[in-house]
Amino acid sequence: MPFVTGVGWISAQSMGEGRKNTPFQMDSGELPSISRPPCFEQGVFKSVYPRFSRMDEFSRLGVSAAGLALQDAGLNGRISKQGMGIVVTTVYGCLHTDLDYFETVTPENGAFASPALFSYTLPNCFLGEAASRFGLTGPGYVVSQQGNSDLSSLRAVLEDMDCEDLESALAGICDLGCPPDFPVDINITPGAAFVVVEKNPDVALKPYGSLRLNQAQEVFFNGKKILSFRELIRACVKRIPGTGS
Amino acid sequence: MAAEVWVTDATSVTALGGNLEELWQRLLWGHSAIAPVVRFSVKGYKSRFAACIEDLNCLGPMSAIHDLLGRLFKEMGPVPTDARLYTATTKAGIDNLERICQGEPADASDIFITAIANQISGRLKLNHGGTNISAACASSAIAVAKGAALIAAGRAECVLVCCVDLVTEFVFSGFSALGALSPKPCMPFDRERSGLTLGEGAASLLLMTAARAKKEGRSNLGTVLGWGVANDAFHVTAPAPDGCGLLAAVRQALKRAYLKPEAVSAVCAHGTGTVYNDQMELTAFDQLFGDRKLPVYSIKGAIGHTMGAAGGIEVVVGLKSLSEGLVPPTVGFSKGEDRTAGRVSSQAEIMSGNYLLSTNSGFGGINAALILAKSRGA
Repeated sequence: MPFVTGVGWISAQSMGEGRKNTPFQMDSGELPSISRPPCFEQGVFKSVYPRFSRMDEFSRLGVSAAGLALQDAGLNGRISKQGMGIVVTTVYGCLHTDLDYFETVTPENGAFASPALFSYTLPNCFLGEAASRFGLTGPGYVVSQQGNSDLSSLRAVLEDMDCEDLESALAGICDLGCPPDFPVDINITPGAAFVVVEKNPDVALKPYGSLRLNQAQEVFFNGKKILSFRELIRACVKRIPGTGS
Repeated sequence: MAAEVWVTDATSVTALGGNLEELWQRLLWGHSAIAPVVRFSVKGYKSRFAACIEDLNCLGPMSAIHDLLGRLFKEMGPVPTDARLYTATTKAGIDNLERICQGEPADASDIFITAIANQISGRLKLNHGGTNISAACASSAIAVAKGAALIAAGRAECVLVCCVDLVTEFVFSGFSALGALSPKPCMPFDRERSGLTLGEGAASLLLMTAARAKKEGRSNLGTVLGWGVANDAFHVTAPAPDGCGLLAAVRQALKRAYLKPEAVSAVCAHGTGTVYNDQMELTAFDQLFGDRKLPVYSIKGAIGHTMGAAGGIEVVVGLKSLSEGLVPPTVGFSKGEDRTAGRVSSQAEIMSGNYLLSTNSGFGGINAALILAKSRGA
């Protein structure tokens, strides 16, 4: 049975890890600027990480939140577990970067198109950054929302664990929200949140709880049906392992 | 015991043919759809070539993706309404972002990756909304892998996989800026290769349990026998030179198929024509197959690199290869590196055996491998 062993998030209100007792809130508002990873001066980001400053905003958000979740699961440094995967749900994806990139294409018939920006115009690019930083050698892909549900990444990971040999993965959500003046505003809360899901957690680490996916694609955490990723994070931080709460 | 995964319907729309039969014939003849681009100005770019579908249009404010999917729908057989749907695209209707930025009327919702799944699900009146898989140029191979995994595990009886991507100035300019476009039509595995050539296209595959397919009287075009997905964990835009991610994906696929590398009859490689991709693939194949000579081919010299649709189109062609016992030529290949000797050819070749390996790799270090088996009825 898969278990949640790590939780990490970055929202307009807070950034944190489940076991650090940071209050979780993810509502609309302006995300903190993540120009360098100051919140990770220990653990996974402890060593020099020059690539971080070259990434687009979407990637910085995603890599940082994934790092927090891994750190919370006690998986500091490169992951020793072979084949750990990462799956993310996003709505706007890297649209901000797409718009920034295309601004560099318009003048002079594309002669000054930015290769640095183009490198981040796929929503899965930050998964590659996370993979190389953390040593995630398993499957990595981005999934769209299913209707209004942002649980598709978690469903995908649970399916991969059920149908495949996948033993551990990060599942998450990542969105910067609607770009300014973009004609379609889907009212997505900006922020990123990840959970580490493991089939066989380290015995020294008490998991947050168990996950189950039924045939109707409903997700259950500790036997209770959950309807959104935020609800899952809230349920996890309510019962931090080892605190007795 | 895992359920057998049959492919019961498969088709494609590419610049080389509006359907699979036309594409297959022209592949065998060694034709290429790569031609000078007229859709947008290529004055500032490092190449002037792509494989664009003739007369593909934006319909009013809608992205050209609608026109392409409309052509695909015409080629598809009936799809059961209970089919699960996986779509695969890298940039969906990104042409509409260009139009919005240029102040032209365009439907912005076509830019979202959900647009493809919503359109297909609605058009085919499927009971479930679909899920789009976005994993760069491995997107559709992963979608096929996920569909096959669901069926094998008994989580679904029927899965439709649809993949699509367009040649737009957005992607063309980007690959040009990265220095990845070949100034000439691409030359996969050739000693003088110097980059890729973009293409556009779409494909659909209907996967079904053997039991359900037999019950519905559907034909078996071939079986998806094995699949694997792995990351290099190396670099965002460059493949790991040792091919570690691709090797891991292929080994997973072989393990699931209960096959050893010796059983593989031919390889449909990603074969983009970039120096680093083709080198990485040849390194991985050397490690897998040793000195053994087996046909390795790429269809990207004929239809261009169709990005997120590439894996799906290559599966459709791979099934045809298995059923016909023929491997298409690698168009653009002329003077191969030493390691291509006895493997890559500019001529169509006879393929003996029952198993084909199809591989794709993409930005973000992702790799996917599929093992296709010849239909026992074919």
